[in-house]
Amino acid sequence: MRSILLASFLLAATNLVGMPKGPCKLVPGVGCGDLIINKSSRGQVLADKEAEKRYADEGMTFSFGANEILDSIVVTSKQFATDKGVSPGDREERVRQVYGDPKIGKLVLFKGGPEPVGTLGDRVLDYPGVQFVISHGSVWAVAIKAK
Amino acid sequence: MAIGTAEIAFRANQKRKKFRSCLYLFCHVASDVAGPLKFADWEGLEKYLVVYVQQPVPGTSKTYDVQSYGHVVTGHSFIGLKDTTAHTETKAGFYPKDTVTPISPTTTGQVKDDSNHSWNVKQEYKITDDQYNAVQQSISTDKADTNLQYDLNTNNCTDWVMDTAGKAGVTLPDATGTWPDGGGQSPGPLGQELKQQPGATVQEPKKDDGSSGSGESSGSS
Repeated sequence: MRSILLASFLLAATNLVGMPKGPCKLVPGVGCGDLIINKSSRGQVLADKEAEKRYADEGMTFSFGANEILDSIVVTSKQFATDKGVSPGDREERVRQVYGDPKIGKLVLFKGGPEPVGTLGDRVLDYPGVQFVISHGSVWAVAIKAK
Repeated sequence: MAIGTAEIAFRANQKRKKFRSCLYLFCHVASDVAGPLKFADWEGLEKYLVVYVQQPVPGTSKTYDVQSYGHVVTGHSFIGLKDTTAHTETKAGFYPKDTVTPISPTTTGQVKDDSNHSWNVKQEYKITDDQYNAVQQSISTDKADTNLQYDLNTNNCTDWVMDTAGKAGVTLPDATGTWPDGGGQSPGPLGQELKQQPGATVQEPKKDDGSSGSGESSGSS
């Protein structure tokens, strides 16, 4: 009886609205599990007001574009990995081994004025549908976007 | 229909009472604010706290926007203090003094003049002379303070605007958002919240380049 109750509780807990159902695989150009780039709406991704914070606490944030449709997923937690097994925290060399030669860019932060307030990490390794932000030689963030 | 003498007397008495009541109210309130002319405020002269917001993407609660050439725009919130008697307005905002990013979110901060900063949402709050002076003093103190701490997550430009507005008894709505590896008060959500308040001024982006207006332009309410 106790095991049935425990199982019911766990089942309910994993189905909480707006909670990630375990770490999904990041698929370049596509999304992560049920979170689909250029398809999922804000309402589908963030079912309630607290969902955004819960996701952020787990190391996943979202950006929505026109018509509040998901246009990027950014993860900074090691619990997430791409479908080829690259996670935040991995060394830059591993990214290059797995994905090959990237386009290299920089992300520079502005507060609305002409003067930048900072550069995010050392560089960005840009591949179709996925970017890796490198800081101190390791992946700080993985961003999934449209190809 | 003819009106009787008693009815005429009754109506006249009512008018006198109404007049006395109005005169009493006028003088009573006027004496509290040091003079009927000031109380009357014929030209609508007042003091205002103005909250200005430049959202990263106007009309959305996005906390940042990745634009071409790898530019990441985070938006900005700042304060205006408007004295319509003296026809002056000072604007100030809180900035990181050095590099700040979600990877390295803290540094020293500084309060700078924001007279020429653009915005796309603003909201004005009528404040008393005392509240005006309190905010003015607070901004002056912060401008002179070389030990201010800027923290992207807990003490950024929007937090500073909220704290400073609080000196005038103005409570701004919660504007929490998230970004990679962090979160906190943010111009995107603040703009969306202020837009819902009566009297907010919203400037639509220009169609040619998508930029928002400047503080000198007139917005549409």
